[in-house]
Formats: sequence, structure tokens, C-alpha cells
Amino acid sequence: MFKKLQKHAGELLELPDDVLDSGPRIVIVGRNKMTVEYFTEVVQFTNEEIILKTPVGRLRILGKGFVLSTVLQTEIHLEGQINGLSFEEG
Amino acid sequence: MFSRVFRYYSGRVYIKVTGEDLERFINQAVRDGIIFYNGKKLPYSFRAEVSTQDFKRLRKAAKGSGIKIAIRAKYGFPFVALRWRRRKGLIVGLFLIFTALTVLSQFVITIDVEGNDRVPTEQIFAEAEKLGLKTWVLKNNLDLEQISKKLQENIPDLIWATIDERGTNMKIRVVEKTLPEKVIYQGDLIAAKTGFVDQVIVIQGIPVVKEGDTVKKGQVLIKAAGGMTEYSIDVSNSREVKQNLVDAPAAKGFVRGRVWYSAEKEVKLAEEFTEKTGRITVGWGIKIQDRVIMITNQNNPYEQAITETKSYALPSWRNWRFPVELIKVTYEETKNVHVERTVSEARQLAEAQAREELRSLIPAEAQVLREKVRIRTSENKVEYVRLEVETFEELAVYRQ
Repeated sequence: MFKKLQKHAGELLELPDDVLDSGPRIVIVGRNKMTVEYFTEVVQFTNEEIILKTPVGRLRILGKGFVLSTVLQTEIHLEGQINGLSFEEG
Repeated sequence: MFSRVFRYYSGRVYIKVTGEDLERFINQAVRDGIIFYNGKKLPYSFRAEVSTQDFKRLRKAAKGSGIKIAIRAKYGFPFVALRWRRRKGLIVGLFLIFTALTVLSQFVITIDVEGNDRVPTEQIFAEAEKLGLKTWVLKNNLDLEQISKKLQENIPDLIWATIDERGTNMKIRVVEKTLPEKVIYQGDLIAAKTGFVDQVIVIQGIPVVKEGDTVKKGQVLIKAAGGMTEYSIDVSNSREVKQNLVDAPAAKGFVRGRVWYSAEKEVKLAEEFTEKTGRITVGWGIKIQDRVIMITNQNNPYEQAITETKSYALPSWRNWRFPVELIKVTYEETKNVHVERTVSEARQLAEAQAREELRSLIPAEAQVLREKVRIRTSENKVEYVRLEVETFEELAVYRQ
């Protein structure tokens, strides 16, 4: 009920979606830099695969030579070759 | 750039985390507010960097989960500072040395005197001390100009005095007054020059030459009157007779006469010579033992030049010399000059040169009686000129 109201109010005021939505905000620069904001926790981390838990499901990033250049409480900056990105339930 | 400065300032610890369920550890740490940088996953470990403050809090996240944290490396100012804190003595020592140098360099530690011959060094020291220049006084309080002026006034034998400040060393440089040369009246009067005697006036002694004689240089003119031999007899021991030759009183008098001087000069009508153009280039370099490294003007910039090398070395200490010297090379450009002269120009030049040569030979008080310029024939485009001067002057001098 409250969420619905929030959404309507937001649409009315023309606020950007990422302010309203509780989901993650993902920024990819080129193919080898990526920032994920508003994730909940790291589920798995290897050189080829990173799985992050977010409010809208699991975010799975596939690639090569991943380096977490900065890990903050709700924000993760990673570098490496990005091959794929998918959401999974759970 | 800024983040790098910050990174250095706060310090980084490079860690290696091993154990089961590394993700859980990362989540726990991140939740505690720890920031990981450059996290990398290796087959059995997780490598990352954390700041020094965060490193202390890592232990909490690792507790009870079988996680082991090892330090791989430390980077940044906090660790450097720690190292220096351990070497406190060294820093204190350095500080003490600098303080001592700064304080000691404010004082006059040594005083030197240079250039004195008759005036004893002690007297100059004593006089300088009266004026306030002594060892262990503050340099800033000294008015060196005033002191050197007073020093010059207080010691009458000094004509000039100056004080150079060279760090903690004060160098008093003085110049003494030159006393007039003493003429020693002793022995015979001899001819200073070859000449023709015109006047002989004897005050004391026996004249050897008379008017109209030609005398050679070094010839005795007036002989000191009779040498005497003095005998002293010891009464108690009459066998020993002492024989002393008493110097005869010096010969005195004037012998004046005519003296001839001549100079011969030749000037070519066409001549080649090298002349300085006035352009100078200075090159600086460093000399390390035998090797010379030129820093500016490596090579001679002129086609023709006179090269002059001067080296500046630090003052040597006992047998030891500072092996590095500063070198200054001066290149003075020269050029070949070709000159053509007319006959009269060449003769004038030759005459002027001859006059110049004679000027140093003829004494100032000599009276010039006659001057003759003889132009000899010019051969092979060379002008020969002979200048003859006849003077009337004093011939007699004492033997040196």
C-alpha cells in the first residue's frame, strides 16, 4: 500500500527511478569497470564469478580476472573483463 | 593524486586471508564499516588492502570462523613514523648536531692575520681584541668595517686593514707602510754606466778618474780613503796579536758625465699578427680528481682562441683535499690581422717603439743633451730605425 503510494508520488514529481526503487544501481564503464550500489552482501567471489545478493534477487557477474578495487558497506567497485550479467531468484 | 596522498598518510596493510567461507568474513567486515581495496581472489585465499585503522577492527569479523589473517606488507606514513620513533636517539642526535652547528656558526672561532711582516701578529690580535674582535664573540655584533678602520688608525705602521668573514674564521688582512729605502754609504763609488766623465767633485776619498776619461760600467771612480789595519795586543799574553781591518770611511762625491743610449727597432711594411677580438666565452666545469666534466661551453666556440683554465678548490684540510674542484675555462677569441704600412708610418712606429724602450733605461733626473734618429736603409720592405740619446747624468753609485 505504502509502496504503491510512493511510486505514484514519484511519478507525479518526476523523480529518477533509482531514488524510488529499492533495487541495486549498476554502472558499467566500458567492459572492465563496474560499480554496484545497494547490494546486501557478497555471496560468492572468485576470479571468474561474483555473486551479489540484492533486494531484487541475486546478481551474477561473469568474467575474467576480477579485482574488487573498493568494497564499501553498500557499494562495490570492481575491475576486470566483464562477460555476462544476470539476475537469479533467491 | 589526492587519494594517493591520503593513502600514504593513513597507511595501508596488505593482508592475506585464509580459511573457510571467505564471503561471510567479507560481508561481516563490510558491515562493520571496513573498506577493502584491490581485493583479489586466489585459489585458497583472499588478498586485499585495508587502512591501518580498519586493520585493528578486522579481528572482530574474523572471530570464531576459522579465518586467519596474515600481513603481507605495510605501506605508508604510520609505519615510517613508527620506525623513526624507534630511532629516537638518532633524531635527537641529528637535531643536536644541527643546533650545535647553528649556534656555533654564530661565533667567531678563529682569527688569522695575513700580510704583516714588521708588525707582530700578537699586536694586531691585541688591538683587535680591544676593538671587540676576539674569539667566542657573536659575529652579528661586530661592525667589521668600523673595526678594520679603527685597527688601521690604531696601529701606525699599517696603511690598510680589512677583515674578511669566512664562516667562523675572521681573516685580518693588512698592508704595512713601506719605509723609504736606506742608502748605505759604504766603500767605493763606482760607475753605474759606461760614459764620458765631465765633472768630478770629491768630498771624501781618492779620485781614480779625471775629467775627460771614459769609464766603463763597474769601474771604480772614487776610492774610499785608505783602509786601516788595527792591531790590538793583549798585555798579559803578548804572543797573540789581533789584527782587525777597520773599514775605511766611505767615499763621497759626485762624478757626472755623458752617457749614450741607443735602441734599434725594425718595422715591417707588411705584417701579420694575431690580435684579441674582445669576445670572451666562459665555460664552467667540474674536476673530479683527474677527470674533467664541462657543464657549460663544452668546446671552444671560436676558431682561434687563447684558452685559460682556472680552478677553484675548497680549502684543504691538512693533507686532505676535497677531490672535487670547480673549473673555469676562459676562451678569448683571437684573429689574424694583416697590416700594410707606408714607409713614413713604419718609421714613426719604429721611432716610437725605440723611445718606449729607452724611457725605462734613462733615469728621470738625467738631462737629455741630444737626440738623434737615424734611419737606416730599408731592406726587404723592413724599416730599420736607430734612436740615439745623449744624456748628462750622475755616474757614481755605491757598490750594491
